[in-house]
Amino acid sequence: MPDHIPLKPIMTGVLHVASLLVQVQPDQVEAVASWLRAQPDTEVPVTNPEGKVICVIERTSERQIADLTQALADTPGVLSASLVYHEILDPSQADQLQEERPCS
Amino acid sequence: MKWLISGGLLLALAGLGVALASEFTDPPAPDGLRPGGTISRSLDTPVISEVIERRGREIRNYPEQPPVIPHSIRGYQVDMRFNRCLDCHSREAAPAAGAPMVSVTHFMDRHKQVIAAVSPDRYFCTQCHVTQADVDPLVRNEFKPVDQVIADMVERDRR
Amino acid sequence: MQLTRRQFAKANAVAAAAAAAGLSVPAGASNLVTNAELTRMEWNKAPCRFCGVGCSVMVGTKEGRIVATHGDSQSEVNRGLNCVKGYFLSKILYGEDRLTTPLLRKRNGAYDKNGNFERVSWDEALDVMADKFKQAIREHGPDSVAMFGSGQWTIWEGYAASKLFKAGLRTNNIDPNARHCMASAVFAFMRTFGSDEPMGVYDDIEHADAFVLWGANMAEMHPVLWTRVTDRRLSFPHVEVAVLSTFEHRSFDLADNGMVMKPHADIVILNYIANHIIRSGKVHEDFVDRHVSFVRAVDDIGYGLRDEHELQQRAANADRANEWSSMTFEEFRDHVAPFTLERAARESGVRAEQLERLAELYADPDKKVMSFWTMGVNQHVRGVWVNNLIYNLHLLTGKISEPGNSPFSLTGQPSACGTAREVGTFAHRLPADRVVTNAEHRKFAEEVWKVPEGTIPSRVGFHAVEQSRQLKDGNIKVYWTQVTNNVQAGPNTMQETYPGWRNPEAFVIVSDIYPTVSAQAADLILPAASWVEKEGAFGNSERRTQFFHQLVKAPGEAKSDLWQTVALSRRIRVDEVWPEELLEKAPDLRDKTLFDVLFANGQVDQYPLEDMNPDYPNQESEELGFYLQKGLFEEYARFGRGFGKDLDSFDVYHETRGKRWPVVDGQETLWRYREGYDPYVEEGKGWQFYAKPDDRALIFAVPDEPPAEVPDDTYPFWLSTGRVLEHWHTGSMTRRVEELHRAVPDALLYMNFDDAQEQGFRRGSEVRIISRRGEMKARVETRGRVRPPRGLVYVPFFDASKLINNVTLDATDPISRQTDFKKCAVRLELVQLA
Repeated sequence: MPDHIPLKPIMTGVLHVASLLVQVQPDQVEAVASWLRAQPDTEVPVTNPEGKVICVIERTSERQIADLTQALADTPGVLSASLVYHEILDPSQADQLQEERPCS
Repeated sequence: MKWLISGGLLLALAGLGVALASEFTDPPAPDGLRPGGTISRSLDTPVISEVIERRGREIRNYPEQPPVIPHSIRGYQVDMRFNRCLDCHSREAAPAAGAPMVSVTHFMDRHKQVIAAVSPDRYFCTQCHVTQADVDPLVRNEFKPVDQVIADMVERDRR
Repeated sequence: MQLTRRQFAKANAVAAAAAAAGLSVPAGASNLVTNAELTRMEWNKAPCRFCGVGCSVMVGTKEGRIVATHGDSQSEVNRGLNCVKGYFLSKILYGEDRLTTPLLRKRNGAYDKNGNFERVSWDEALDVMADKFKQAIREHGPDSVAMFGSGQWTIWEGYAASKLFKAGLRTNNIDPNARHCMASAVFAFMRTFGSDEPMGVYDDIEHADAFVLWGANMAEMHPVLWTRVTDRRLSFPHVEVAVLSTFEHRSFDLADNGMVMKPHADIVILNYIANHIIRSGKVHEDFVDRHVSFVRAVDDIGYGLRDEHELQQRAANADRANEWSSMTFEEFRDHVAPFTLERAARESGVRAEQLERLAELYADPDKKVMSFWTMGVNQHVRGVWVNNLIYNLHLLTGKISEPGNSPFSLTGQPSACGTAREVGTFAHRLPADRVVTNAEHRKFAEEVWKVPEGTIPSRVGFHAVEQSRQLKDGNIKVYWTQVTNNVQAGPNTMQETYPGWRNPEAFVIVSDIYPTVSAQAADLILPAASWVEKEGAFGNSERRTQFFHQLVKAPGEAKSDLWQTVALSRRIRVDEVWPEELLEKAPDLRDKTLFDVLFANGQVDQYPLEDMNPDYPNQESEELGFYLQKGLFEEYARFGRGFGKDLDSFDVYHETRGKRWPVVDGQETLWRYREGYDPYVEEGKGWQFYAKPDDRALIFAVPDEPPAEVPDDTYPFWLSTGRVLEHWHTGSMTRRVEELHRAVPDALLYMNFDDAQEQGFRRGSEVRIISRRGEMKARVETRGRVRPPRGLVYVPFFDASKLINNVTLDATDPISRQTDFKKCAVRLELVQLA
């Protein structure tokens, strides 16, 4: 492994990690999931055939999360998209090991 | 003058003409960036395509890829006196301009020391960042981003 | 499992959403987020595939695919930076039209020059090739076959091909496309210093007080070096940048002194500067007395056109262009005396005060000067002379071979230096500056290669442009090109190159990764492996040798050029291509194949597979059963060790970010010819140009002679061709990357606004560009990155749909035989108004 750690551009000084639960028409699960996978810093760890899609995202502002939610709402086949989990991290510490986390 | 030549000779000349021409006739060939079998032809040219404006941010192929420029930069002055790009993308100007700030990597010099301003070796933006004209790809590219490769792996393992 | 905060947050996020949805999280899915094993990528170094700067990049692979690339922060060359092309390296191998199987023109099941391409097996392809080579040599002699190679060959690919042709097939008809690119630089190095390649290094940039660009547009063509120049200029206000060109371009954005000169005026300007240095008493007399001699070059040397051309007939010394005679300093002083400031200003069109300011950079003993040049100087009917004239300035002032004082010849291809020049794949060369015309050099090569004396022919082979002419004339019967696209890149396509390729007498083989214009014109197409699909080595412009491992597999049946060369050698028996008198000297070779003689010679095959790093594949070696690349490299390295071109041992290069030769006792050399830096310089000498018999470099007196073609009433415009930042050479890789294609989708005709208006054109109008040789259509751009003065137009050559070389002239420098792609005369006709 080289010394290089890819540096992500930091625009606002915070890192938002969030998950969205997206309800879609069952025949659109694959289409929506692959659209989501094509978005930057977006993962789709869980889908089910009944039309549930879970995506996890990293963003640098709340507005970007809102943008994605809005874009999903505008996507054909999507019935609803709701924010389930939201945590704000300090990007400079995001890649430190969890064990080293100071008590809060 | 041709009509003075007898029919037989004309035919022979025509045959010769074909033979000569066939030497320089473009042979069939697979299409590439240029259609096959067209090398000796002067192809028509498409009109100058316009730069795509405000299409939102492009998805990057990988995190280290320099983002492309989603707007025209025609007439932008970037020289020793002035850098028009930094007018909006500098740390100070970005929030008001609604533009992304230049990445933190740009504040590091050649020795990876963080400095107070954009490093001079990153000064000429267009060495890495380019505008995008509204044209179709000439040939489809089958590059897969790493998340797609991983998704394919998981999918394969699941089967 | 230890998680980072980011991973922990994401795992929580998935769990929360799954709980909300009433779903369980499948093991595989949770791994997708948190499993470090799954998201781990392999990262390895490799030199960039594009230009001669030789940036190192980190290549990320996953599951046998390249998924990312970024600048290598451990590389001294680029310290983590890339240009836009380098950042998109990941995608260059994935165009959907990759060639994956050999294709042969056939009709009714057999080869036919005018047939359709049909898929054939490698066996069939190689059998046809071998038959064609043997038949041509049997019926027409060894000089009826030829190869056109590349500065993009890896070092061992060039070495193996050169060996196959010079010692196996016994013809020197092998030349690299570097002939189009830097042959003028090579000849000038040999004339002035007796040894090829720069004395300085990129580190000079961080020491120089002034930079002078002679016809180079580094901002676009050598972007990462330009970032270093920019860094130096913007960080140190005393530093000055002078840019000289026949049109304005992006490098002018950093220029303190930007000068647009008339084409060909560089000879007058350079002679004026020498005159200025002498007249103002700024000659470094001690240096000149001890280390320099003065010579007068032969003049009236013609233009490298066909012998019957009127200009060749008129030239008195076309057949002895590379000769000179000695002269005194006083005679040199008198020679440059007529090149006054007034004359230089008048003939170049540059303001006198600008020229004087430029001259003072060289004259001022307190300014360290770095001169840069590439195609503007090399692609020039007097390119060798102009190289020599630049060295004159550095030698008169002693500004050479020390940090910051550096005449620096740039290169255009990733291994133009490593493969074309050091390996000696030119039609006149052997490895490490040796030449085929020198009996001792041939003998040395024959000994290293373990072939009988007299194997290597003494006649210089056909150079690039001559190859096209000989194909057209029917004298070359079999022609093989690897890693190059000469139907698009060579000059005067429709009159010389293309008719030769389609000559029914010729069988033309193209090895490439995509169906280029050249592949479309060929008779047999061989699918190649590229870049990190094979183990390789490149040498960059600062003498740095860099290695890379095979990281991914080539698609389908694609094979490296090295594999192809070796495979052909197995199909040709020595007695099928060598004459009886040579066979009598080595009767034991008679029944051997060329493979046995050239590659299974007890040297190339001496390293076992165990020497390979087990972490990387190596297609060629695994098939052969020995470490082919190491064997070739170590045999090749014998040519340079002890001769000023020493390379380190093979394995070292895989471990480092390259080393700059000569590497003696493991130490690289930064400044050649200088005591304290170069181990070859004897103690107490200070400077020593040891590659010359008397240790003295030469200052050349050359006159001004006109270009081969100048604009007139019928063809009123100068045409210069060249490149753009986003596309590399003929665009076969970069134009298949969507982002780079969208950045510059078409080659445009860059012209002056007033000229366009006078011609009745508007921006975007479609125009026909016509010369005495051919024509091409393009759209007019009057506001682009290239801003020509009145009377000159510029068209880049990357665009396969717009073959500007239909228009160019195949006049060359008579010494280097390098084409002048920067100067010919054209007229413009409106096709369609925008």
